[in-house]
Amino acid sequence: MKNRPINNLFIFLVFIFLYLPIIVLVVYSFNSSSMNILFENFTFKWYEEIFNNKELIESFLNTLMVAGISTVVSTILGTMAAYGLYKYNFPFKNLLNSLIYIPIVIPEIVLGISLLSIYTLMRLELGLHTIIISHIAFSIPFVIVSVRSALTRETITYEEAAKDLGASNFKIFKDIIIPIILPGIVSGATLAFTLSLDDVVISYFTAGPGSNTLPLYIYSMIKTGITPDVNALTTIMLLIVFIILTTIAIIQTRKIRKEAI
Amino acid sequence: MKKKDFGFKTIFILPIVIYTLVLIVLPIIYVLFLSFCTSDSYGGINYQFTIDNYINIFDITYIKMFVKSALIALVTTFICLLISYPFALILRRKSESVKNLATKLIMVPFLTNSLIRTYGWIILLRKNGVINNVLTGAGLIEFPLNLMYNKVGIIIGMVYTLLPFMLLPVCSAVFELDKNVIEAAKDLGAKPLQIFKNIILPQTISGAFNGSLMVFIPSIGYFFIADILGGGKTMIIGNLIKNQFLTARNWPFGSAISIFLIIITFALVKVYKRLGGKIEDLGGL
Amino acid sequence: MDDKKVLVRLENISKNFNNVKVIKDVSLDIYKGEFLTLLGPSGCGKTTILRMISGLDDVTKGKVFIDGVDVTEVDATKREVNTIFQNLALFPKMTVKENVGFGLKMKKLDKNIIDKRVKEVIKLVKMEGYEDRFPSELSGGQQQRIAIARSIIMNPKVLLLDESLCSLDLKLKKSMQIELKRLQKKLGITFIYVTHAQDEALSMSDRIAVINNGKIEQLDTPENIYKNPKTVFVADFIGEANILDGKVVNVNDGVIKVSLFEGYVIEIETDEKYEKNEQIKLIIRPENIKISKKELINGIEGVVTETTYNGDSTKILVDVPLKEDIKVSTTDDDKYNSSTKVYIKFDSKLIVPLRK
Repeated sequence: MKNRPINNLFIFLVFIFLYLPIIVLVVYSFNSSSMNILFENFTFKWYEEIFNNKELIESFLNTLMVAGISTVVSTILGTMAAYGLYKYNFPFKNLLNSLIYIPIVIPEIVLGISLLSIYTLMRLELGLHTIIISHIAFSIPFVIVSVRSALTRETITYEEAAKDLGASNFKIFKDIIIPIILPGIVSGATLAFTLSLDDVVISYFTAGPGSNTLPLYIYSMIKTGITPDVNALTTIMLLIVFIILTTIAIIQTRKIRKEAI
Repeated sequence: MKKKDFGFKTIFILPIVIYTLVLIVLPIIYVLFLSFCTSDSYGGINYQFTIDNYINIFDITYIKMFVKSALIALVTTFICLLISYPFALILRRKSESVKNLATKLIMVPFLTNSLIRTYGWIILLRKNGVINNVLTGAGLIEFPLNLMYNKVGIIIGMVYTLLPFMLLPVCSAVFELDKNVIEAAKDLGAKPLQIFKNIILPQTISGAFNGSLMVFIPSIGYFFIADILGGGKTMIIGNLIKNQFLTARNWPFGSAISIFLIIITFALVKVYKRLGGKIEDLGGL
Repeated sequence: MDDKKVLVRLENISKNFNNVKVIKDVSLDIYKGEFLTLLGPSGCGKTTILRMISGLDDVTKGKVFIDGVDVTEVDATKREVNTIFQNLALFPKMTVKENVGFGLKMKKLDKNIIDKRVKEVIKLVKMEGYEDRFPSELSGGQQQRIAIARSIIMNPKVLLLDESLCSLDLKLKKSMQIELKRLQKKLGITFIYVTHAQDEALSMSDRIAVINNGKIEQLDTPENIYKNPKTVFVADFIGEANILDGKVVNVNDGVIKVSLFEGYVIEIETDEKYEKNEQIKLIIRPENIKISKKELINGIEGVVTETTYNGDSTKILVDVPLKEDIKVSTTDDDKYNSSTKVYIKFDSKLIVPLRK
């Protein structure tokens, strides 16, 4: 593949495809018409409208809470599991190792209905808590995978060196292992958070009446038509994500520059 | 191992064992159990053994639907492959920072919910939507195209939602290609298509299959895309399962279809392993 | 080493990995202040022995004593033994100072004391000025010094070195060898060094234990190991050697006559008792063979097949009426081209006879 302009155009078009629906959503958040069809006049009114839409606010906060709690829990459990599976041997370890991948490979809908079935079997009332448990359930394997990739063969020697110098198991984990696998933990947590925000299918099956999250709220409105305040909220979320990502990028480039000096 | 290690080991092993048993093994075994039960007409479950649910799967109306759903999934996978390879091969020659930026940009849309993005496609695709307006406005077409409420809409939605799952593994496989091997092939007179067929494809096949797996499997289950962009006219397997659990309330039949999907998934994973793929690379975004 | 106090004692230790015996009933005394090398090919079990001394591996059977105390059941964290690992294992996210002070921090010592000791030790390994660098910012030799500093700050009774110099290039390796010997003399610490490189073992050690197949083949001073190998393996592994088959044809009061081939008999002095007609092996080093273009009395006639010039000597392969070509090393200025007819003669005093 030569460095022809047409090649760059192809990359550009792929990104246009990936961002097109988002751009449209953002543009229509400034549209004075409530129909999301024709662009009439420029307005900020939908941004004010968000605060009047109690259901929207509530479902948004619920979504954030679900993502936040499930990310924290699955990151902690997943990190500990990855380290435990890496360090120790125990009966049926290989079996456990392959079972863990099931939530990653099976269709989400199958995971959704099997969790729904088990909650019913246990007579667990559906609600936000069941969504949280379900999100933890499908996030843990992703965290394990990304933490595990940071635990290399070299980690064993670091651990042995620390042991040799008199460090306890807890100190080894805290002072040696955590700093080494931190990038893996961070990417695992990011993944868990992203998957939780993105999820529709599993929330759809494990939510109870009244436990509205953003995707469920939007799903219920999609047939009748979505009001532009949803666009406005999405735009704000994107803006926040964009600010966070740029800040991280700036911090990283500064760090690299500093190290270069 | 020394005895005092035991407590530490327990803390690290026990939670994951409990998690696996309660949230992975038990649910699947229960669904397997349900698939052999009978349902009564009120949506309840009779614990009476039957294999009828599995026999019903092979009813001609369901078979037709499965084939349609599988075709949609296959077309989706193929389009994703067609986009991902050129994308990765072009990006391979760029600098490390451009590659990093590109892979980050692929991930960003995920931070908004996939349903919201699917809704964005409604604004774009419908009869009086952005794309049709632009095309008629430019005089390229006389009458608006039917871009949604049909299979085209479903496939656009599926490709859009699942493309990143193909782009990332294909990129990481292609980026690992040894530059010297490709240059050696060129040196020996291989043409671009021959290089792709003989050098690039064999060396990236497990990455491509990884992506195909992560695209194909969800695209038989994403009922919401079929609902929204297909207008409920085309059912995929995901819709059928959803209906059995939430509308028709025939859980045993829905369970049988789910077990059927699990078996297909495991078979595909086996093929992937045969091709030299590693299970831990799946879903590693 | 005057008092020859035993510091580490291995008593009939064995080790199984997945039911495979990797160490077979090894006993070994290591004296205070000595530099002992465990030498052997990869996979022979030398590193496992080291890890059983440090406590990183358990022993399956047998006992480990350090300074007279049975430490078999004592955890690695509590043994007064420290290891310098093969890949050094410097903690990547800690600075030089933090790495060196890590062990003392684990002992919960006062911060001022740690700082003082870290300063001393860094000075000892000549790394002043690098305290705030990260391991990745150091050269191979500097990392080596920091790894040593991190261990010796613990004042270990024994310092274990696991193939620590392997990764260095030849010149750096030589200077680190000298450095290690200097530190060992200065600190009086006992060093146990594991390596597969015989030149390192011969030049640094007070004693060498040659390990093969989970057993000690020979434990002796470098000179004795080289000159009087006790097994064919040792002879073959240390330096170059010709290993010849022979048959005892005559036994006579400390002198045996051995036939190498039809019509060629050689006389060897030995204390060992051999039977007549016994098949034995003869070990002869290349430099103990005389080579000449002129006929030698009681020499063997042969033809040169290959010559390799090594700078200080020339290695010549000679085809003689034996199974394998004889390796000869000479410092002669004579040119021995391929196909030259030559005569070789063994220095019979330096031939080592061995039972098979």
